[in-house]
Amino acid sequence: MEHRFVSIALFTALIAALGLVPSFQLMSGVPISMQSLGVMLAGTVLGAKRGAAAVLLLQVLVVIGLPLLAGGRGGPGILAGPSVGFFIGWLPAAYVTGLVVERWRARSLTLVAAVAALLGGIVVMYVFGIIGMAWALERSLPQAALLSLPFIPGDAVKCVLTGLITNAVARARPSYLMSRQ
Amino acid sequence: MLLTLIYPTETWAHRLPANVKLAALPVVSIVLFASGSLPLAALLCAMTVLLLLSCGGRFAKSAARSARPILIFIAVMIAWLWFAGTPFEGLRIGLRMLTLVLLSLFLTMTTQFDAIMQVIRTLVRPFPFVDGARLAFAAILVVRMTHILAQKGQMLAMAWRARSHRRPGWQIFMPWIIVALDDAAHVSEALRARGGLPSDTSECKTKDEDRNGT
Repeated sequence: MEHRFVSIALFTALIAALGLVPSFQLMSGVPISMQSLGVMLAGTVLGAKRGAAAVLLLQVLVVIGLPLLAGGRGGPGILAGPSVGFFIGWLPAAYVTGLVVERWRARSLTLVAAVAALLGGIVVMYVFGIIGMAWALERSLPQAALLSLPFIPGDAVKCVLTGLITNAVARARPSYLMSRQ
Repeated sequence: MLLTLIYPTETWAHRLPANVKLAALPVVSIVLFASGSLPLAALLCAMTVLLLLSCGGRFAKSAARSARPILIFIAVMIAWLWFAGTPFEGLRIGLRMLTLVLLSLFLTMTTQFDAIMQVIRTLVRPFPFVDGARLAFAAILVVRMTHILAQKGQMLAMAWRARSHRRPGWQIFMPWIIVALDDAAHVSEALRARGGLPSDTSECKTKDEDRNGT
C-alpha cells in the first residue's frame, strides 16, 4: 500500500522535475518540453490506474497554485489558457498508455511501450488538446488541429524514448514495472 | 528552488480568507464565458488590473512578469484574428484569457499553499472515497521530492558532462527514473516503519485521544 502510494507521488514529482529540464527546439522552432514524456512513462511504468493517479495529483496541485508545469507555470489560470485541453488530456493519456502496456503482452516491451505512448500520448492527448484549443480560442476543430500539428514530431520522438526507457527500467528493476504485475 | 508563487511582502489581499478568493475565481469565469460581451470582458479585465495595482506597483509588476508567456500568446492570437477579419472576437477572447490568468495569479500570489490545501480538504470531506489527510501528505511529498529529484537530475547531468564532451541528452532519463523509483522504495519502507500512511480516521483518533488525555 505504502509503496504504491509513494510511487504515485514520486512519479508526480518526477513529471514536475522534468519540467525543469531545458526544453529543446525542433527545426520548426517549436519548443518541446519533457513533461509529456513523464506522463507517457507514468502510464508505461505504473500502469493505467496508478499512472492516471500520478497525473491527477499533478493536475490538482497545479490548479491550486503550485508552479509545477514547465517554465514554472501553475494556478487555475491554466484552465483558461489555450493548452487547457492538453493539460486535461494528460489524465486519459496516461490511463490509455498504461492500459495498452497492461493488456498487450507482446515480446518486445520497447515496441509495446512506444505504441502505447503513441496511442495515449499522441492520439488521445491530441483529441483532448484540439477540443480544448478550439473551445478556448473559439475556433473550428480543423483550425485548432492545424495549430497543434507542429508539436506532433516532438511527441513522436518522446514515444520512441518512452519505449526505450520503459524497457531499460524493466531490465534494471523488473519489480518496479507495476504495469506488468 | 521556490515551489510556491506566493508574494513575500504581505498586502491586504494576503489577509483575505482563501475560500473567498477561491470562490471568486469560478464565479468570474462563469460570468466571462456565459456573457460573450466585449465591454464586460474589458471592464472585468480593468478591474482585475486595478486589483493587482491595489497591492502595490511591485506586486503588479511581479504578476505581469509571471503572465508574460500568456501575454505573448494573446498578442499573437489577437493579431491572427485581426488578419482573419474578426478583431473584436480576438480582443474579447484575449481579454477573457488575460482576466482569468491575472486573477489566478492574484490568488496564488496572496494565498499560502497550506490555506488552499485546507480549503481542498474541507471540499473533499463529503466524499468518503477521498482521504483529505492522504491528499495533503501526497502534496507535501511531491513538493519535497520535486526538489530532491531535480537536484539528482542535475547531478546526473554533471556526471555526464564529466565523461563526455557532448551535452547530456535523453540518456540520463533512464538512470533518473531508476533513482526516483529507488527513492519511492526507500520512502515507503521508512513510512511503514513509522506506522504507515496518515489518514482522516487516524487523525480523528489521535485528536480524540488528545482530548481524553490518553
